[in-house]
Parts: sequence; C-alpha cells; structure tokens
Amino acid sequence: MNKILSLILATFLFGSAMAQTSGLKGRIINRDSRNPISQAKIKLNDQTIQLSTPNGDFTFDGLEPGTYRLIIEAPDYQTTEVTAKVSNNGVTQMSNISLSPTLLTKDVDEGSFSEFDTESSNDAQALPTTLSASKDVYNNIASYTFGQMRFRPRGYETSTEAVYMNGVYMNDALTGYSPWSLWGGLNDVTRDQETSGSLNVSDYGLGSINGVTNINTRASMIRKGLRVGIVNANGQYRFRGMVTYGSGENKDGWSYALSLSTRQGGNDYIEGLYYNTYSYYAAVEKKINSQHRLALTVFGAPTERGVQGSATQEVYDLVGSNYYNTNWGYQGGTGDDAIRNARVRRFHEPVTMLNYFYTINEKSKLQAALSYRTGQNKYSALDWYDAPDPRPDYYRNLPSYFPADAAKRAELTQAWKTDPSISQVNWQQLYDVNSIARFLPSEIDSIGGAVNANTKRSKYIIEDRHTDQNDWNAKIQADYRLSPSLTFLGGVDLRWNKTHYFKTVNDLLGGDIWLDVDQFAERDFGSGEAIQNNLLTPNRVVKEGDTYGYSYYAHYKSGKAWGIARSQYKDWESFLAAEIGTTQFYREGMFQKGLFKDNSLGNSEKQNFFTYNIKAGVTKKISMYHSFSFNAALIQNAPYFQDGFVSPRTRNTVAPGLEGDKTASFDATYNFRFGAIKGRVTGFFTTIENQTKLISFYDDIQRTFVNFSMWNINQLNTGVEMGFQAPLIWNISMKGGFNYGYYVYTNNPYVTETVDNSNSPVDGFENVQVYWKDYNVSGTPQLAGSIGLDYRSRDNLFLSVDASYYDYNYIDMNPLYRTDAAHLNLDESESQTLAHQEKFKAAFLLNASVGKMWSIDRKYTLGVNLNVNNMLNTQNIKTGGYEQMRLKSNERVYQGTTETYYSAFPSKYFYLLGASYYLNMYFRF
Amino acid sequence: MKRSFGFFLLLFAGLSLGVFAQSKPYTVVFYNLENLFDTIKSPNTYDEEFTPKGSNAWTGEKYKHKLRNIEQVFYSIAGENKSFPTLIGVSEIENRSVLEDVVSMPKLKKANYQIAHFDSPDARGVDVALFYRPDQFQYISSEAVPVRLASDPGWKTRDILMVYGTIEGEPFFVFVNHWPSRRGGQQASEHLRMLAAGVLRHKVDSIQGVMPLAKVIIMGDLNDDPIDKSIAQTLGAKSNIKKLNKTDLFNPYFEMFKKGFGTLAYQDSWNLFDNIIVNANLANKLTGNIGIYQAPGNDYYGQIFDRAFLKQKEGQYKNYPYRTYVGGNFMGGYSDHFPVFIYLSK
Repeated sequence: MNKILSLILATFLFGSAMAQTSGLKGRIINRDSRNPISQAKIKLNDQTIQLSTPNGDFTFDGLEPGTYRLIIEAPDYQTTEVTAKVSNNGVTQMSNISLSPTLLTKDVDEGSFSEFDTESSNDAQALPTTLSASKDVYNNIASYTFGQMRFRPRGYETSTEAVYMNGVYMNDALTGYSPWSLWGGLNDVTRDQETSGSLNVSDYGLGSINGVTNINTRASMIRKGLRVGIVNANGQYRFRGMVTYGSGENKDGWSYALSLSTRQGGNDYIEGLYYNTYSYYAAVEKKINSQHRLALTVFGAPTERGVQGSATQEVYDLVGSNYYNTNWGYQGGTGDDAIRNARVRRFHEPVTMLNYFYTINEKSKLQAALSYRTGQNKYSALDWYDAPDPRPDYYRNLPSYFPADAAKRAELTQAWKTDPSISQVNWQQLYDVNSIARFLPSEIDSIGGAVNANTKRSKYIIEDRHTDQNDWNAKIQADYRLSPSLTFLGGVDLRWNKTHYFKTVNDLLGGDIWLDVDQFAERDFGSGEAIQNNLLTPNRVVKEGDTYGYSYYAHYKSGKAWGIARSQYKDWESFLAAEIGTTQFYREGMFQKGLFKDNSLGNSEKQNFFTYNIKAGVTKKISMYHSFSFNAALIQNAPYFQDGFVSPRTRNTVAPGLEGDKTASFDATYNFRFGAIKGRVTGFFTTIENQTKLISFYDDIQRTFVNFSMWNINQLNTGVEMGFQAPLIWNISMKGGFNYGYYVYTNNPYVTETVDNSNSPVDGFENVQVYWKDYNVSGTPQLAGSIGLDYRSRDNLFLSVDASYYDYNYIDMNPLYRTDAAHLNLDESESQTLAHQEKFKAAFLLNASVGKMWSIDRKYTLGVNLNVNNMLNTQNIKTGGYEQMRLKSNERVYQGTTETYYSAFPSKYFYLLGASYYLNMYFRF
Repeated sequence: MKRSFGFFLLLFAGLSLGVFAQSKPYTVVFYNLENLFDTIKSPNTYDEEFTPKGSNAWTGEKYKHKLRNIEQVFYSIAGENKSFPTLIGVSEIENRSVLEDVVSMPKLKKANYQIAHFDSPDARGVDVALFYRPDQFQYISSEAVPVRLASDPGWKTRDILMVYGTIEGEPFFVFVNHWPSRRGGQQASEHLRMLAAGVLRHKVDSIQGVMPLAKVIIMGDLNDDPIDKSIAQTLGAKSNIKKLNKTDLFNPYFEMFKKGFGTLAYQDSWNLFDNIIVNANLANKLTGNIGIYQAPGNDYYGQIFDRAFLKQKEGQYKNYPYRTYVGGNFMGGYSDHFPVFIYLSK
C-alpha cells in the first residue's frame, strides 16, 4: 500500500518537476515595422492571460508538454491565433509572432497591382510542352537492348545523329562520324543529355534525321559532390575506375568540376583485344551576375585500344571459335604477356571549349561558343615490301587454297588447329626476315650514302596511319520568346578543319631502315620516278617515327545560318526550321607522288557545296490519352571529304558524281495511353539519294591496287517502330519495343574502277552499273523486338529481364559481284549465287540485370549493378559482316574452249560475344 | 447644385468601387513550396540538409531568394485578377517561422495574411498551412485532423489541416492536405493515400451531416492524380459538375488531367497531384450566393499557374517546373510543383 502510494507520489513529483521546467516563450512584433508590440494580450488555451513586455516578450512557465493555443490581441491589430507545441525539455522558444494592423482601407487590393496593367491577360491555358528529359521507352530499348546487335535506328548511318556538346556541333567534320569516343570513359560528366526525336529539332540547331543529342558538360551542370565508381566486366574491358567531383556553385558564382577515369584490360572472348585508356575532364564556370555566365571546359581521352579483325567462316571453323582474332601473334613467349596486336588505335584528341551565356531579359538570351579539337589519332597496321602477306588468314595461307592437294590441306588444317605460329601473326618470322634482308649493290648506289651492304632492310614494319585534326568551331545563337506561345531561335555556326593524313613508321621490327617507295608502282613500272612516293625526297630512307608513304592535308570550312520558330497554342505544338550553308574542302598534297607528279603536290581544286535543311513538325494533343505528331525534313548535304577524292593518298583527282546526298524524310507518331499502358507507334519513310561511296582495295584480277568510286546510290528506309510500358502488379512493370524496317537500295548506281597506279579506268569498268536495286542496306537488323519485365522494390532493389529477337540483318555488299563483268560466262544459277546477298540467321537473346542502392544517413549513396548479356551464351550470332573486295578468277573448259569465270570470295564476319557481365559499383557523397 | 453634383460623383464612385470590388472573384490557391526550410537545425526532425553546413548549404541568402520567389508567385497570381488571394494553402513548410517570413514579404504584407498552422508529425518535419485574408475570410477555428495507421502506430504522416470560417457570412470549411508520397511505388503506397482520403471523406461527411449549408474546399498535394482511386473513389471527387448529388465533391482538375494538364512532371509525363476540390454547395451554388467561378476565356474551373518563369528554360529538364535544387546544385528556382487556383464568386 505504501509502496503504491510512494510510487504515485514519485510519479507526481517527477511529473511536476518536469512541468516546472517546460514552458513557452515568444515575442510579439509589428509585421510592418518589425518593432515589438508591448501590452499585447496573450491568452493561453483561453485561460491564462499575459501581457507582453516592452520588448514584446512573453513567457509561460510550468506547462505540461502538449499542444497549446494562443490568442493574441492588441488594439489596432488583427487578433491572431497560434498553435504551439511544448516539448518536455525546457522552455520552447517560439518564432516571432507578427501582428498586422487592423484594416484601415476597406480594399487592400486597390493600387496594389498597377504593374500588371500593361501585361496582356493570360493566354488560354496551353497544354504543357512535351517533355524529353530522357529517351522514351522505345529509344531506350533501341539503344541499350538492340544496341548489342549493332542495331541502327531506322537503319541510318551514325552520321545522321547530330551530337552537340554545350551547344557546339561535334560530329566529325570530315566523316560525319559520331564523336562519342572523344569523351569515352567520362560517363559521370556526360550524363546531362538533352535529346530530340528523330526528325525533331533541338535548342541548338536543326540536326539531321536521326535525332539530336546535346550534352551539357559545363561545370555548373555537374552533380554536386564526389562520386567514385568501379567496374569489373568481361565483355569489353576488364576494369574501369572513375572519380568525379562537382563543386556546385559557390556564393561568388564559381563552380568547377573534375573527372578522371581509366579503362583497362580485355575481354574473355577475343584474344588481343585490350583497353589502355585514361580520360580526364576539368571545367570551370563563373556566373558573373544574373545575366552573364562564362564556362571553360577541357577534356580528353588518351586511348590505346587493341582491335579485332574479322575472318571468314573457314578460319573460325579451323580454330574452333567464332571469336578468333587474326590481328595478334606471340612475340617472345607463349603467355598472355607475349600477345602482340598489330592493329592498335591510339588517339588523344583533347577538346577545349569556351561558352558564354547572356540572359538579356526574361524573354531573350544570347549564347556564344568557341571550341578547339586537336591532337593525334593513329591506327597501326602491318606494312610489307616484296615479301609474303604476313596476315595469318591471308587466303593463300588457308587449306581451301589447295583444293587439289589433300595432303597440304590436312597439314595446314592440323597446323591451324595447333600451331599459333600458323594461326596467328608470326612475329618471330617477321623479325627473322628483317634481320637478313639487305640492299642490292645497285640499290645502294641509287639510294646514296644512307645505306650500305650491312644495312638491315625491313621488309615488314608496323605503320601508323595518322588522322590528326585541328578543328575549330565558333557559334553564336540568340533565343527570343515573343509570347508564351511563340519562340524563335537562330544562329550561325562556323567551322574550320585542317586534318593531316599521313603514315609514320611505328616499328621497324628489328630492321634498320625502310625505303619509302611504292611497291605496286615498282611491280608495274620497275624503277624510275614512278616508284617514288615523294619526288621531293626520292629513295628516302625512313626510321621509326618518320613520315612516309603519303602525306596530305584536308582543308575544310563550312558556315551555316539557321532559324527555328516554335509555337504552342492550346493543344497544338509546332515548329518550322530552316538552315542554309556552304561547305568548302580541298586536298593539299605534301608529297609529290612519282606516278602523278603534276597532280599530287599542292592544292586540289576547291570543292564548294551549297547545303540546306528544312524541317517542320506539328503535334496535336487530343488528350492525355492520345496525341499525334507529324514531322518532315528535306536536306541537301555536302559530301564528306573522305568521299571526295578517288585516291586521296596519292592525288588530287576528285571523285565522280560528287554532289552531296539529298534526303527527304517523313514520320507520323501516335502516342497513346490506355489506362496505365503508355506507348507510341511511329511510321517513317525516308529516301536518301545521290550518295557516293569510295572503296580502295587490291584487285586480284587486275593484280594491282584499285579505287572503286560509286555514285548516284539511292536508298529507301521505311518502317514502323513501337514502344510501350505497362505496370503489372507488385511494382513489376512490362516494357516492350519493336522495329520493323525495310531498308533497300532503290536504283542501280554507277561505278568506275580506277587503277591506283595510273588513274585510268579499268577496262570494262568505266561508268558501269551496279545492280543494287532492291538489295538490302546492311549494317543493322531490320527487324528487332524486345519484351521485358522490370521490378523496383521499396528499398531500391532493381531487377529486370528482357528477351529480344532480331532478323533481316544482311551482309555488306561488294559492288563487283553485281556488275555485268563479274557475271561473264556464268549460267543462271551461278549468277544468282554470285549476286545473292546473305541474310544472317535470326537471333534470340536474353539479358538480365540486378541492382541495389543504399542511402546511408541520407548523405551517402552506395550502389551496385550487375548486367548479364546473352545469358543463353549463344556463340553463333553474326552481328555483321562483309563480302571481301575480291573476285576469284577461275578457268574451265566449256564446249571445247577455255573460258574464264568468276566466283565470290568467302565473306568475313563478326560474332556477338557469348554470355558477358558488367558489374558496376559506385559511391556518392 | 454644386453640392449635389459632388454628392452624385461620390455616390457614383462609391457604387462603381462597390460593383468593382464585388465583381472581383475570391481566389483560392494551393502551392507546394518544395522544402521551405529555415536555416536553423531543428532538434526533432531531419533537416540537416537545410542548414548552412548541410548538404544543400542552405544559407540565409538562399532562403531569402526562395522567399522572394514565393512572394513573386503569389503576387503574380494576385495580379491575374488584381486581387490578393483570399485563401492560400501551402505544403512542405518547416514551421510557423517560415510562414511568418512569407506573409511579411513586402509585396504580400499589405494583405495582412493570417496563418493557420499546426506542427505535424512528419519525419522530415514538413507541414501544411493556410494563409487567409482576414478582411475576406472570418476565421472561427481550426483543427489538425490526424491520419493514423492502426496496424503501425509508429508510422507518421502529415495531419490534414481544417480551418473553419466564413466568407460574406457563409460557412466555409477549408482542408489543406499533403498525402503520403509515392515512395516505394504508386501501387505499393496507394493504400496510404486511400487511408488519408478516407479520413478526409469521413470528416467532410460529418460536417455536411450536421451543417448542410457548409461550403467545403479541399486542397493539397494529394500525391495521386484525379483519376486515381484515392481521389476519384475513396474521396469521391467527381469530374462532371452537372451531375452532382447534394453531398458530392467536384474536382475541377479531373477533366484537365484527362486532357493532359499537369502540375509536376516525372519521367517525361505530367502528373496532377495538386488539386482543389469543392463540395456540391460550392460547385452548384446549392446554398448561399458564393460558388465556383469559371474565368472568361477559360475552358475549365481549375487553373494551373504555369507561367514561363516557373519553368526550367533550358537543359535536359527543359519545361519541367523550375526547382530550387537539382542534383544537389542550387538552381534558384521555385518548386517542383506548379501552383493551382480556383475562383469563387457570387
């Protein structure tokens, strides 16, 4: 009993002791003057009343924890009610309570809004603009899932996708190639991407027919904080490490960002492939004031990458793997360390960019940019003089070259299966040849003092083919919003490019020197001026690092002026855009080629082209559930420099039919939403006409190096693409993408085959037709479909799995196989065989990924992702291939006479890797 | 004669003023302020991010910038019909102190906004509140309506704020909401918003039961779209103003959402989480004189204030609501939501 009593007492005492320390205090002020109000009456829960002190303060002590209501009254002020929570630890300090004066005027609104008088009244509410912060579900599937099969959206060349960085057009000036490798490995700082759909225009320019991407890499756009990421993988490189820091904008308006990354190692399937790359990025930006910003961005990716070569199926079958790589061989051992790849890309092309932004007012802004790309880009290869082809899979090295010699075939087959000195590059043999090769006395005489009887003449070397660019871009652009429904933007883009194409000696492979003469010319003409690669320095002896073979500059400049008008009214969105420009390029030869001594040194004729681009689009939004878009484009491009000359290595002769291609494209899209199912269906129709193509190769029939110029190539790309996503249950959603394309040539273009040594057309191969009509455009599966499931849990666990199917992927064609001359003396079935374009087998793939993200203390983020591609480990999926540029010449006796006939050489292929994984871990704070 | 002319003039002026004043509808606004925090660390809630040393480096300067932005928004809405809004509901505010700072902004001071606010049980410490113009809305009382999960007493969400008062003598009940978020997925978290909707519907029903003349305004960030179960079914906010029963609720944003309008964007689609819903008394003027009013030239009763200055002007997230922070970087924008408003008029 006592116990209970004392417990009650203790509780009471304890409680009251606590109550004594709890309370509420605050201050009453005048809202207008911020001065304290004294003598204000503060009623607590309609009971206790206090008056505020001359400082406006009040304090209520001894309160139980809980919620209280205070009513504050003061003469000439609005009575104000405040609820406050009293906690159990001490006196709760309330924020200042401001009282507003009792109304003096009846209407507080009067005279308050004069600044709105001039403003026109709000337009009828327009539907929100279509958003595009990320790729839609179809485009997402097309790039990530279909991408592994080298799928190309709508079957277009990559040059049709315009890539901008900070508003500057970055596609290669001379080839149009997409420039992503310039910032390879810098994923953290290239995440902020604005994308526009295929025929749409961007905020920085019109683009072409395959979408526009602008990557924002200005310092202020980089996510604030530090991010560290590590990748382990087996499908591309082995390891990637990346660290990135973004400062955010400090109070003086400065922001900076840094990123470093490296990719190292090879993959589990293809020997000789490796990455040895580093990437760096540094950017600084200054917000000078609310109107002016200046940003400087510098990045580069010094890269060394061992490259894979393709091979014929005979070779793949001989070695028992579709991942055979012909480019490497063992040197000084037989371990992985001894693998040496003859074909290595090395480049480092740093880009420096200066951006200026001027916000003139709420409605208009101006931006200007200057960028400079420079550096080195080289690709190594074996070169040889008067010696057998060192490539292990050269057709004369294969069993099939000896159809009549069973013993030889058996011996070679055995060697291919077991002896890497046969199946791979035999480096030792190349060194051996070089160590004993000497100049003849007559040669020593003609060369002069540079060589003697002991000079080891390299017959085999490794050359580097350089493409060293100096690329300047300048642009200025203005944006003006005339009204909420009408916006104009326009600008001028200027570009100058000077690219040096030349060869250097990378490695003499044990020899002392290399003699810079043209061996093909030597074969045809024996000696004299004709065999000289450069008459300015005849019989030049070159060593490692020296330029030889060819050397010329591409000079390019272009200017474009463009404008875009966008309007938005109620449920309509539309745009109209136009661009006009001129492009000029010419070749400047640095070597005076012996064969073309009047047509190789100095400048070629300047090639000038007028270009235009007109685009229009309209979107009608019926409702949230349905909207329709129609877009159209008409584009006249300039040809690329790389297609401009018959043989740019040797002379200034311009390619025939050089006018630039003309593209017309139209697409129509239906965006739908049925319940929770969202998606789109798009039909597209594109014609690309008047394209040219230049191929140089060694022609076995002519027994000489030839140049193959095709022109007037027309193609049609039409089809349907569709994507959808639908939530199912338990946070699982389904998504799918589908593309059915029909990409064919629509005419029979012309070709002229020119002997490289003489600039004269090959007999019977001048202006002949290539029968390409209705053949398929290669390089992509024309049918692709994917269906997948995604799961995302409450605590950031992600799972996804998708199945995809591909078909109608065709081989890249050799035009020769479709000319009359090649079908000489063939019967109909032979003819069909030769002209047949191989369609690769359909492919089915299964991919999965799992990821988890943890947020620690709401400050740190830790994440792990694992992707597994080709889970079924299918190893016989062809992703690409091409017909060799050779014709096999045969003889047979037909009706008593010997006749020559031609057959196809086996094609070469690339295969999709088997099961591969990509494990990414990152930490962010 | 001179005198009577003066008198006439005065009368005319008075009349026209009166007519003019009367013709101005009452504006009712809701705006999610996206983390309006002061710069001081609170003891009981997680607000370190919003301190000068926190991850957002939330300094007095940035706070003032945000206040000026909010001032500009409310003042611009007022500029639409040249009248300060009568009622402004807000969400994602830290405490009474930041509300005091909003109503004390120079361009809003004149309206003498009073504050109705309760400290709400929310892990991040964000509350809802109502500003009202005392010359138009006569405050009577307020209440924090709790939303609790019977199965999980530890689970916390924001109370619904109910404010009772009169406009021109007619009784008004105003509810300001910020329903549980979609964290963990729309489907997985839907039951929580249905719970809040049920609590609200129950409250509305009991008011309408005892006070048939009551005019009800429900506003807030409901974290669901008008067509979702919580709003369309549990709360029962209907789309067709012409087909309302006496106790029904009308959601002017229902048809707008179906047309494609939105107040916030996620993964390139628009959501319309910010709703202002009224009961049939207001929708159809079943009682009294005041009812919802469709501005001339407008296709809907609801309005979304999506002026250009509230939108991101460039970059990846162009045309999205212009936010205060993106990726930890201070952008100097407004909010991840657009404000919404309706007019009430005789």
